[in-house]
Order: sequence, then C-alpha cells, then structure tokens
Amino acid sequence: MEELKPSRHATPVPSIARRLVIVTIGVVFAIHTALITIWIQPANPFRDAVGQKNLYSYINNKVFPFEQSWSVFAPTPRRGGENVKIRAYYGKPGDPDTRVTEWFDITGNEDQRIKYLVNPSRFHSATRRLGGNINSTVGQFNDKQRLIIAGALYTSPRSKLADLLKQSNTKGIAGLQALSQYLDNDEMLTRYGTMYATARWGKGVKAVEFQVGHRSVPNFTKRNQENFLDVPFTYYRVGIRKAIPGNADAQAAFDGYVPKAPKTTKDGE
Amino acid sequence: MSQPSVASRGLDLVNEWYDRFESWLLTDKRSLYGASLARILAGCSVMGILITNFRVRNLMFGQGSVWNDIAQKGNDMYWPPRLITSHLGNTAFLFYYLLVILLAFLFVLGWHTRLVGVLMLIGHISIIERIPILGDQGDNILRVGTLLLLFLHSSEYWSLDSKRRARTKAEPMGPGPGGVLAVVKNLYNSQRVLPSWFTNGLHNVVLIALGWQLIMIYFSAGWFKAQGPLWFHGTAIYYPMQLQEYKPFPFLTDAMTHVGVMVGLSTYVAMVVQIGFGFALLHPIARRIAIFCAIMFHLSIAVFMALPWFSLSMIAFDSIFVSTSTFILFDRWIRAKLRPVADLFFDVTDPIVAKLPGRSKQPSLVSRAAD
Repeated sequence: MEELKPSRHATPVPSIARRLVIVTIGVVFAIHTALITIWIQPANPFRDAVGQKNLYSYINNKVFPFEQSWSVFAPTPRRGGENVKIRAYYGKPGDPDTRVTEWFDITGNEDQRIKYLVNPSRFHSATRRLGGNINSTVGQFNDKQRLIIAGALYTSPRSKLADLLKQSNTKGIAGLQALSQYLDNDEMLTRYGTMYATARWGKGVKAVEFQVGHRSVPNFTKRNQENFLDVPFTYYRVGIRKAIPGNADAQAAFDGYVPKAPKTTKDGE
Repeated sequence: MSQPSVASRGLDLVNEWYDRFESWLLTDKRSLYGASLARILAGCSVMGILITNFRVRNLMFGQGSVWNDIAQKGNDMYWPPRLITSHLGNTAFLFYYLLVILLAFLFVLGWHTRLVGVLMLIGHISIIERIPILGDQGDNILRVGTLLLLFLHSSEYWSLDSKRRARTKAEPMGPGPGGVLAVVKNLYNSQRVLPSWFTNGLHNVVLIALGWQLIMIYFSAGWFKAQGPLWFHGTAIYYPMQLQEYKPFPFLTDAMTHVGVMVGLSTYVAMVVQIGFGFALLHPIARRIAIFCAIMFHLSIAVFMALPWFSLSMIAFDSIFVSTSTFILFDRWIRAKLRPVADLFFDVTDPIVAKLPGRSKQPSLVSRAAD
C-alpha cells in the first residue's frame, strides 16, 4: 500500500510551552473520560473512591449532561410485553346517567401501526413504556396497595392516593421509591388517557380508567410450540382517575393521531 | 562490543513509543476521513429521528407532550427544552422543527460545519429532551458523540466548507480592525484561524476521547451481558426479539429464531464483539474484523429490531476507527463508480454555477479525482 502523505495541517513537533498547552487539554479530557468510564461500568471500587454523589453531579450536570447507560438488554434481556386498555366516563362515575365507553386497546393499536416499519416513531412505545413502568412498580406493591390503586380517585385530590399508598408502605425507602415512580406514571397515563379518550370518543371526558397488562415471552425451549402473541395478558386494574385535560394545541395533536371510534359502536355500556 | 542491557533496550523502546505517540498527537490531524464520515452520518441520524417523528412531532415534542410534564419537570438537566421549545405553539413549533431538520441537512453537507453543528445540537436536544419518558440510549450517544465531533475537524472531506476553502485564500491576520475583519473572513471561508499546532493537538485529544467513549460503550455493554445467565447460555437475544416493538418483520425474526444455532451464534457474537472490540483495535487485521462485525451488528439491530437511528449513530462514530488508507481506496472506488452520473450532473450544473456572481468555473470533483 502506498505511503500516506501528511495532510495540509502537518506541523513539526511544537515547542515545550505549546506542548504543555496540549497536555493541559489532554488532562481535562482524560479526567472527563475517566469519569465517564467509571460511570458506565457496573458498580466498582473506583466509583466509591470518586463518590457516587460527585460522579452523579458531574455526569448529570445541568449544562450538558453526559448521562448514559449501556446495560441495555443486560444482564437480563427484556422478556415481557405490556398492554394498556382504556375506557372513558362521560359524567360522574357511578351515576346512572353517566355514559361509559367500551374498553379500547391502545397498545394493540400501536402494534398495528409499527408492523413492517423499520423506522417506527417512538411515540408508538408510549403506553408500552408507561405500562411497563406501572407493572414493574405494582409488582413491588403489597395486596393493600394494589387494592388502593384499583380504587377510584375522582373527588379526592391526587395527593390522597399518595397518602394512602404511603400509609400502606411496608418496604421502607425502596417501597417509597417504587410508589413515587408509580404516582408519576399514574399521572402521566391519566393525562395521556384523557387526551386520547377525548380524541377517540369526543369532548366531555370526566374520568378515565385503565387496565395495564403484562405477558412473558415463552421459554426458548418452547419457541417453536408456543407463540408469544397467544400468551394472555395478566392485567392490573388502575382505577378510575379524574380527567386531566391538555390545552387546545395538545388536544389537537392527539386529535390528529388517535383513531376515532366508529359511529356504529354502542359506547354506552 | 558488549550487548545493551535489557533495561537499556526497554528504555529505548519506551522512548521510541513516546516519540511515535508525540508525533501522532502533535504533528497532524488524524482520522480526518473518519471524522468527516462521522459528521455526515451523525447529521443523517438527527435528520432521520426528526423526519421519522414528523407526523407525531406535536405529540412527542410539542404541546401534546404535556402528558409527560411530570417527567420533564423532574428532569431539570437540560436548559434547551425549557428555554426554547416548551412555550412554542403547534405552528411555531412546526417552523422550529423544520429549521432543525434544515440545520441537520446543512451539517451533513458540511456548510459552516462548526456553527451549524452547535446550533443543530442545541436544536436537537431542545426537541428530543421534551420527552424524557421515551428517551433511549441512541439519544445519549448521539448527543455526547456530536458534542465531541464539534471539537474535531470534520469538514476536511465531503463538505461544502472544503470546496469553499479550495476556492478562497486565507487572509493575513494582523493586529487592529483589519485583523479582526480578516479573522471573520477566514472563519466564513473556513480558512485556518487558530494555529495548526493547537488545532492538531485539540483534534487528536478529542479523537482519543471519542474513541475511548465508544470502546467503553462496547465494553460495558458486553460486560453487563456477560453477567446474565441467558447471555451465558446463548439464548438472550431470542427474548427481546419476540416483543412487537422489536419485531418489525415477524417472518424474518421467526425464521432466525426457529434455528437455535442462529440464536446462539448471534448471542455469543454480540457479546464477544462488544467485550473484545477495544482489544481488537490494537491489531490491524483484528481491527478490520471488529469494525466489520460492529457494523454488521448495528445493521442487524436496525433491520431486525427497528432501531435504525441508534444503529446509524453508532456506525457514524465507529467510522473514526477506519484507517485513512481504507477511506482513500473507498473514495477512489466510489468516485470511479459515480463518475458517469456525476459528469452528467456537472455538465448540467457547471454552466449555471459559472454564471453565479463571484464564481469562476470549477472542475467537478469527480473529474479532478480522475485526472
């Protein structure tokens, strides 16, 4: 192979003073790189030496975060699918005059949209992500907490749900973290669901209700006998939640995306 | 005559390695072709993500993303979304969105690369980080890699900056207002402003930082996998590939997972390539094999798991590991192949370009390369 010629940038080795400037730049980048290296590796003594708090504040700085995690599909790859179904209440839940829609499978609709698409929009993962987060936290809840989240939250403020879950927490700080994560996802799902339901069934949604399902991929040894799509979902009931509507622009965005309910459908069941 | 001692020979070797490293680091810019290709592919990734999500832009990043408001509020790391995009209505956001796509396109073309690159990066973050709940690692590597790329000289090849640089001459930069004007002109014409000894050192230091970042990504990803029993037993990739979000072509996935050996081979190759990537770079042949495997690995992820933009970002930054001689061969090959098409194109466009004010007729790149 022919000898490579120097580029138009080629210079002789610079003086010591100039080399010191480059060394200084090198040290800055070396420290940065070392901190990134320590951050992305599994828990290690170097991380303890630097200090978890110091490392976190550097990686997640507020100007330009270097946040990253490469434990994707590892050590245990994802092996479960999520599903979210919704129905809407037009009127106070429990009132005899209140119209309640049929259940609609949001994730199933997203599945249809992403089939044969090599570049699907990430938005089609929204309920999968929210449902997955809810499933993983509810899986850590005790029976009493599961009963609480299945209950209605219509007249009381959302803080009531937080209080009840905290009172029933039996797992200390880990339990508090799980329920904090649950509450965030519950609120996001309620906001999402309100706008989704309004776009599907029309204005006037007073409350929404969800079923969040999970199913596992059949074991590798049974891959040619059992089909993942035939595995039934196991659902957690997320109870009735008071609607949280968005502004006109936000609703317009959902109106352009959500499939409208067929006019022939009898929603008032 | 006495033989030199082992210690003396060892010191000579250290000295030789030090001189070679010093020369590599300080006397020229390295991997200019790789940096140029990384620029093009990273810009394509930004464009790809934005164009893919164009129809759902308001739901994902605009006012419709209010449903993940609580995640945005909990994520106070990013100022661009808060300052720029959070207050835009649907119409204003549409124009902003198109502007960032245009910036990414200009970045691909290498038009005022550094300035456009900075604006593109801020624009991209301001859009993408509106939806932290749907973020993924592709966003992270694209953000971090593009930041480092901005310190590299990535417009040396395949860029409009390089064409402008070839067309113009550097203005002498003296003291006083004339000097300032010359600096501005040189910046505009993509001519040298800072001394080469400084930019060479900076370019190469950042090149090492980007390279190390990629090696660590591969290593830690492989390292985490090595801890998992399913990876250990060679069945791990079967599980996520059954999920509908990672199964765009069911018949392809089913054909692959039907054969257990294919699953085992893919699982082990993925893990081994990731752990061994950094070590393989130390040997020229192993390096070529590792880069080939990494590209195939990412192409497979793109097609089988519907993650094209993450894959493209990784391939973009991996290109810094490809040697200059390989790029030169590739450059010649592609120019020869494209020559008939390019000649036809330039036959049409050259007379038009020649009539533009302040332009003299330039021979086409293809014609020049062939001369």
